[in-house]
Parts: sequence; C-alpha cells; structure tokens
Amino acid sequence: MKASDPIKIGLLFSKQGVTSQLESSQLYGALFAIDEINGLGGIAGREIIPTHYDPQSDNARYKVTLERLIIEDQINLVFGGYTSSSRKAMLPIIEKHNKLLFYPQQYEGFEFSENIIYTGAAPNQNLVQLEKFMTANFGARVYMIGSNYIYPYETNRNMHSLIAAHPSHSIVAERYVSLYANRNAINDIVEDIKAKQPDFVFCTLIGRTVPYLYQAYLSAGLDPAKMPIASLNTSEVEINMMGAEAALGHYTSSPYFQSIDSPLNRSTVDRFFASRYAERAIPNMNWEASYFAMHLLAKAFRNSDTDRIEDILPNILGAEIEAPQGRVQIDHLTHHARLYPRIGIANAQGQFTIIEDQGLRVNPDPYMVRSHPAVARNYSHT
Amino acid sequence: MTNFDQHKHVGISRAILARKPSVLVLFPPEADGVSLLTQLKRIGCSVEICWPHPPFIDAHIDLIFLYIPPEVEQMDYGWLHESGPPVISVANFENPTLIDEALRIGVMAILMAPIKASGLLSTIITTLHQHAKNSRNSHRISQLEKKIINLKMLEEAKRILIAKQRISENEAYELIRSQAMSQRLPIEDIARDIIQSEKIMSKIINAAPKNTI
Repeated sequence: MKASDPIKIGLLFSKQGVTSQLESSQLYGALFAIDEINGLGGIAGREIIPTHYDPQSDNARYKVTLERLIIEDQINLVFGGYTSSSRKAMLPIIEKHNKLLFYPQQYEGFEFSENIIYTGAAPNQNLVQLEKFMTANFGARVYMIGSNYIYPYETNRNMHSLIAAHPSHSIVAERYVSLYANRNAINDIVEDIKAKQPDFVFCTLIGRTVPYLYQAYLSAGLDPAKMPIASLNTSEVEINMMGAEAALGHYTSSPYFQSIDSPLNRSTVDRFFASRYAERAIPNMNWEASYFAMHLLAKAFRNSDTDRIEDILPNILGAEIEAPQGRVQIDHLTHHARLYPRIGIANAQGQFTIIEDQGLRVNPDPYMVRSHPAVARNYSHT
Repeated sequence: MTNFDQHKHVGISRAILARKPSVLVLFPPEADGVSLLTQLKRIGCSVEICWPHPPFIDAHIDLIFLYIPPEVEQMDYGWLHESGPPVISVANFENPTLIDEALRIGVMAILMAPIKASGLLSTIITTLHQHAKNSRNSHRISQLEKKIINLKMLEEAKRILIAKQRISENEAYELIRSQAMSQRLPIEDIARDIIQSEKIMSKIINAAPKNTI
C-alpha cells in the first residue's frame, strides 16, 4: 500500500428488505462522513473509496457480501449490520479473515469480538435508563412486543431482570412476531394490549413492523399519556414511516436524537440536509453511530501505517472524537463506545423532545457486569 | 406468531454472573492467557492467575482454568479434590492423548488455545451450572446411601429383637424407637448398638466351651 493509494472501505447496509430504511440511515451516515473526510483532502492526502453491497436485509447475504468484500475487493475495513442476527452472521467471517468490522447500532449486549467495534448503545446506556424512567413514571407492569429473533429475546430478558427489582412488577405478556409480519398480526396484539391494560408497552419490534404497532395503537384509541410505548430503536426514521401523529407521546431511549440542541449537532444535521444525500436518509441514532464511527476511523488512520487490523486497532481503542451526541470514546476492554444516555418523547413535528439528559458520558457495560441491580448488590457485599 | 415462554429459565445465567465468579487461572507465563484473562474480566469474573500449581485450592474459588501443556510431563495435581471447584482445561491442540489426560484429571470442558471470546461465556455458565447440579446430585446420592444403610441396620436390629424377645415386628420397632427417644439418640444409633452387642454376644458364646451353658 503506497502513501498515495486510496483507502478502501466496505459498506454492508441494505437498500431492500424489511430494515432497508434503517440501514439507509447508516449507509448515508457513513457516506456523508466519507464525503466530509475526502472534501478536506482525505486521510493525509489519501481518498476514501467506499464499496457498497446490498445484503437486502437477508442474513445469508451478509455473509456472502462480507466475504466478497474481503476476498475479491481485498478490503480490510467494513461498516455494516443492523439486526443482531446480521452481526452474528458476520462475526465468524470477520474473525476468520481477521478484518475489522464497525457495527453502528445499539444492540442487546453480551458480545465481544476482537474484530468488531460497536458504536451504538450497550444495554446499560439505553435500557437501564428507560426501565428506570418508565417504572418511575408509569409503573412496572409491562407488556412486551418484539420481533422474533435474538435482539428482542435478549433485550426482554434484560428488561425482565431489571424490572424484577420492583415488588409490583409483572410481565403482562411477551409476544413475538416475524420481521415479515403483516398488520393483522399486530392489530391482534393491540387488541390484547387494550384488554390487558399494562402500565406501559415495551416495543422491540424492528423495521417494517414498527409503524404497524404505533398506527394500530392510535386507531385503537389507546392514550400514550396513560399507557405509552417505550422503545430503544424507534427513531426519527420509524416516525417518518408511521407519521408524527402515531408516534406522538411515545418514548425512546437513545444516546442520539436529531433534536439534540448543540452547535455541533445542529451544524452537522444542517450540512447533511445540504448534502447530496439529503433526500436519501433521515438523521437518527444509526446515522450518527455510523457517521462518528467513520470520522473516528479516519482520525485513527492518520496514525496507522496500514489499514490492517493489527496496525489500526491500537489507534482506535481509546480514541476520542467530538460526535453530534457529545465527545465519545472507544473503550479498550469492551470495544464499545462511551456514550450519553438520553430519553426523548416523540412530538408533533416527528422529532423527539429530550426530557432526560444528565449530560453524563456512560462507560459501556455490554455484559451488564456493573449495571445490573443484582450484580450491583453482589458488589456491595464484597 | 409465537408466544415464547422465554422467562422460565431467565434467571440461570443472570444468577451465575451476578455471583461474580472467582476464577483461578493455572497458566504458565508462556501460554497465551491474555485473551482468556481479558474476556473473564469483561464478563465480570474476578480473576487470579497462578503458576506453578498451588498446593491446595482456596475455598472461595468457583472455577479453575487449567492449562495442560502438550508435552506430557508429570504434573502435581495434589490440589485436585473431588469436592473442589470445576475445572476447564485449555490445550494447544486436539488429540486423544490430551483429551484422555484432561478426562483423567476430571475436567468439565476442554477449550482450545488461544481462547476466543465467543463461546467462553457459554462454557463457563454450563460448567458452573452442571457442577452445581452434580454437587446436588452427589449430595443426594450420599444421603440416599446413608438412608439405605440405616434401613438395613434397623431391619437387622428388629430381627434380633424379634428372635430374642419373641415379639412382633411392630413391638420391636416400638422398643427401638422408645429407647432412641429416652436416650435422645437417632434410631440408627440404637439399631447399631443392638447389632453390635449381638455380635459381641455371639462371639463370646461361640468361643465358650459348649457345656458351660
């Protein structure tokens, strides 16, 4: 690799399939950052050339396209994955070839790979705060509805074990539907929610089915002021899919909202809407996780001899960068990011009004070693 | 649409992790233990590393990772104890000789070095869970064995009383029970005394010249 060679980066985000709109936000977050980096002269004079394949929201295609990026395109650095099942599909391949994957999405935790950098929230950076907020304001009787795969199972398991600390807690129901479910499947569940009247609904639906729930909720006349939906992944993109009226009054816990009122976030969002990708994506948590990860990689690259993992990883671990959400940092031990938990309530403009923001950067704890009440109690004894 | 009954077993992994297992890693400096140590820390274990093998294992240790070198050399496994913590061995490669060696030591699982992060949590949780289950089962088996021995003794003692006193089985049991009550001893102690004295008695009688009785 010569000092003037372009730097190749692989992008695996779906433009088709059930999670395409969410993955587009990741894709254009990354491409927008690449434009910014190249616009400022690239990385020490070297241009970033992205190669994008469309896995079509299909886990098997993630494997095939990842291997194609590595073997045919000779790419060492890849951004990709939205669902946890897509990441679990890519993990053995990225480890086998010893390449580096950036996964810009919050997920259920309980994972570590030497070959992955996780820039979305770990459960102690969104779920712990959401559980606390919802039980304090609405109660501990929760109705769980999620998509039928590992992220919702594990997130509900985490939610259950957190909420079990409340004497009055109850899992009113725990329902799973296919990522490809139709409206009728969701409508039936909304009828059941109406009948069972939980304190709140915890939604881990993913992709196309998310709007079905919020829209059916609105049609059924369920009042978010009394019985809201809480989520870790319903973002500005899903609100755009469902309409602001359906989202109004429901809660999401995330380190990033487009409405964060900081000069850096406002200017970044403004620049994006002035960019060539303005019509292609909506800035949300995935967009930001992808955007700052690309800038962080570029920063680390300036101190690396090559784009091989053994050269670049030491410069990524511990690296800090001013992200739209605040100054983030990659944790050495876990490869996850230090982030800023926030809670937002969806407003009439299709944005989130941030109602909780302690301004604190929280260390990632993907295995919930320090963050779980049962564990915390155990610690205090020893 | 599915309605999973996920939470029936929701607590097992959580309960094991919440105890923050104390792990002893028996690795020589030349073995690549770094990836094992850091992943153990990530998942919340408290870790101690030790080499050479210690003479005994402290009671607070919940789990041992044992490096088995590829060169078959006689190691001192004096610390190995049937009631000790479970052992997961780590080997550089997979072959029947090393597997047999690990099984001889009594390991619960065998991992290949260098340790990969994924898979370690599963192995630790299944090992600790199965070990706890095995301990409960062993305890239960020894209780049952004791119970069977006691029942046999009680039967034997009753038989002696029935023959000596020409009483019914119920009366014999009642005699033993009331004796146990008044002496504040377990029934099986009284039964053992009866059997013991019968043995002594028959020894004396058998040893004596026939015509003295």
